[in-house]
Amino acid sequence: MTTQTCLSESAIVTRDKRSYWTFTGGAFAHATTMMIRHKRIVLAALVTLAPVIIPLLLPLLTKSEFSEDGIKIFKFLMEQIYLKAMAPLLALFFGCMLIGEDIEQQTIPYIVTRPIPRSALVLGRFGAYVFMSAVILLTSVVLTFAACTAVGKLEFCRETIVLLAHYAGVGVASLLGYGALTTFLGAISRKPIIIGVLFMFGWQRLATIVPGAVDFLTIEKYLNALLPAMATERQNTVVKLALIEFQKKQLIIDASKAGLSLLIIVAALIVATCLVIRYREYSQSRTAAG
Amino acid sequence: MEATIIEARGLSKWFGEIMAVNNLEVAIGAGVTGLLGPNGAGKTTFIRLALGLYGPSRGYIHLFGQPPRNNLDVLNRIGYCPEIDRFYENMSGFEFVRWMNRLSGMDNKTAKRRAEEACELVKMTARMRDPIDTYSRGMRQRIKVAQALANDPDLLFLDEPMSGLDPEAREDIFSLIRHLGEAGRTVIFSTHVLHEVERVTSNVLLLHNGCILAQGDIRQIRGLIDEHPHAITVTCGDPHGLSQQFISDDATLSLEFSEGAVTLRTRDPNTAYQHLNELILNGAFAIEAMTCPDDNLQSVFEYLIK
Amino acid sequence: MPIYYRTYRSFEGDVRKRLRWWEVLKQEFRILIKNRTFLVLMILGSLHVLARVLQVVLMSMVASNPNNQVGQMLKSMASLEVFSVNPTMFFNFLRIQSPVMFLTLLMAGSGMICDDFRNNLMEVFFSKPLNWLDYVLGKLVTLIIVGLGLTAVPAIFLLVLHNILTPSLETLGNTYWLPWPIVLFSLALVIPAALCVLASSSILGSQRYASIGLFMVLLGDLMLGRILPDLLHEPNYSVVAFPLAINRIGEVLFDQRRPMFELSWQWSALFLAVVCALAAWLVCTKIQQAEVAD
Repeated sequence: MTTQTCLSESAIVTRDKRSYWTFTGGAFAHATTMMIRHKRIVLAALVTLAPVIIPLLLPLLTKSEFSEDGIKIFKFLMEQIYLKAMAPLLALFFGCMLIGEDIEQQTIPYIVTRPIPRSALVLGRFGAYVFMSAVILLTSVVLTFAACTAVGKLEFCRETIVLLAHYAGVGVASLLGYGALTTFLGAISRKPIIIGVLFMFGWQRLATIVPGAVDFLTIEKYLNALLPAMATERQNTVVKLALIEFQKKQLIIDASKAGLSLLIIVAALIVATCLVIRYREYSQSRTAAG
Repeated sequence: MEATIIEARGLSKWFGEIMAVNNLEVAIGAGVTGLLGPNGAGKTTFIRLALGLYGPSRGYIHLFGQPPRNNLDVLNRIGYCPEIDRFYENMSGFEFVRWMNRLSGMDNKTAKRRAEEACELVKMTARMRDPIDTYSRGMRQRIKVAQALANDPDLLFLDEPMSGLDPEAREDIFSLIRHLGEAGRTVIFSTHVLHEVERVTSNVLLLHNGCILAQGDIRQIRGLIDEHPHAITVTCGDPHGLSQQFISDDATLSLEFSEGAVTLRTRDPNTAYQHLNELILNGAFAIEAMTCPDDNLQSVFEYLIK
Repeated sequence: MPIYYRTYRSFEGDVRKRLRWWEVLKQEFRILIKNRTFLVLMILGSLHVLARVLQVVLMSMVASNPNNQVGQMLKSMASLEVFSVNPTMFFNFLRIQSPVMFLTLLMAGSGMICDDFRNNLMEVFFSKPLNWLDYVLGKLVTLIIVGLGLTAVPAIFLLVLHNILTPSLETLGNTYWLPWPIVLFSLALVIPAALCVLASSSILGSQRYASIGLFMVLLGDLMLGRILPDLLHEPNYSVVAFPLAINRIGEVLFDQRRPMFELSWQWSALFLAVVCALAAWLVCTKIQQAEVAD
């Protein structure tokens, strides 16, 4: 039996230095395709799009003498839902699985035996996460804005469009910040979702209550500083707990410093993820989960 | 091409208190080498150390003269077919190989072409567009081999490649491995089924409890085991009469009789064979058949691991 | 026993008639007990219990020795409503315990079904003398026991402790009715959580996605229940948030005088019943599909 054992001469690619960006592009394309293929992206999209019905329902449910100002509703939805809840959830949903899914389904040996620079792998996948989650989040944000202008009392003018763009930018910044954290957790931990939930919805809440500068150890602090000025005028927040109520003085950080700090945090977490993949030993028997 | 492809000196790896690989000294050249051992011998750990998936606890291992861990130049020259039967979900075999090619740095067009060629090499062209979920075990194994070959590696690691395959598929893999070796590639394949190795190569590395028991040609290893008696079974008309010819030899350890045959155990097989040849030529005992039941890897291995 | 041409089919011998799901339950507990994260979460849940034990002990010291040094010191604390041992305390205990309980159930149960699918264990299960109901009951009862172990069991323990430590029988007269609300409210917290965790595990193919998917739906719902009342200035819209709807049932059971919203508890009960029915339907449908047919 004759067997072709070599690939054709014309097909043999000389193993010269392949471009770093080819590797990154390959990782990006692979991760994006995997995300799109899975039906669970439908769940993520549906949950993220759910807030759009709020401005649509409000006119039906509101008693006219108590109806809220359209801009207040929009601001409320952006800050309370999209930035405080949806962005962290999308980061948990997609970010934890960027590296973690390969570990869980034991396809990691295929990846780490490929001649792909670890940084290219991480950057490519991270880019895919930012792209996919930004598409989902920003679609929902824009639809919410459209709903607020169409049936709510939000005026469609230059100021509101600028406001929309501002919130969209902060939304992407929050995806970057939370995504870098969850990507790192997915690479280093076997229970990234639990740790992520405890950090985002436990520690970040607790840090806003504890007096002092503890809240600088959160991502939310820097994102809040990027919000439109009207949102950060409050310097003394009233903290309501189950048992007591008190006022806490907030230490304000400048928007540009906050943006820079966020970039540094994202870069540090991405570098840390690259180092983890580089130096971690992935055993077949030890799969991560949860 | 370098003379020594894989070199390990004092290579040890432990996981907690478990010593998986124990002070290995190995030099493997080009061609096909079988990595043998029972379950838990350290075969997969050795392969993973060679691929850089693990870092050694002590000593070193070099591929093409360089350490493999996080070394992109080395990884560019190797292919790996893992033992695990896992793939990305919702993919066809072709897509899987193509994406692995993309992650190896190929552009889209090259990745597609190389994936098609690799699938053709492992005879999966007809089914390569079907979802992997619909494949039999043998097809999945072939796709794994295809993704290992697509980058045209100089060194190929196959971890239990025959696992779960039917005889026809095994034959195809045997043939592929043989031809890869003949084409000048270095192939390391691990198995715990000893007769598989003998089908493909005579060059073996035997591991047991993380240590090397033996390395080299099967027959040379066998020959070196002087203390282990060599068994020869002779079928003839007069087994008792034949046994008289050997009973006085110092090298003869034992004679066992079965129906129409005698099994001679001797420390000096060469002299015994010479004597038997003379007896055949004389026609004195009507010798019908002569076999060597332990001139194979199984007996070598069983002896070594005792 | 016949071996079918594709794979091994159902057991045809004499089967145990009752409590077959008990074997599934035992197996799940064997797995859980070896899981470090599960044990850590159970310990975390116990910290609140310890704090409440301390509260009960201190308050009973006040009650039994109001005039000694410690009693005097604690009397000022005891005068605060928040430290009193009363039905509100038990209601708050269960309410505050519910997030830890939910997280523990999520950790324990999100892989229960999807991992069985992933590792081809369905054929193994259904080649034993088990049917789909035994499988589902075994998994569900495991989670319910874990949940009640963090809610009803410590609450009943606190109640018993309170009655043992306080000197007068008046306490018993005031608290004899509490076990009923404690158990009912705990079941209202645990059963929907367990069913939703199993439903999410049966729909989504990975433990991670099952846990984060359910968490997303829950958080989204909670946000909605917090935002609508604020925007519409109508507290009754809080019922949209499932945890707050269950809380309403607890407020009624524990006879709380200052409920979060005034909407009738029947709406909350209806919401709870619909969620449980939907989750149960999802789980049962998935498992019935997986059961090997004759």
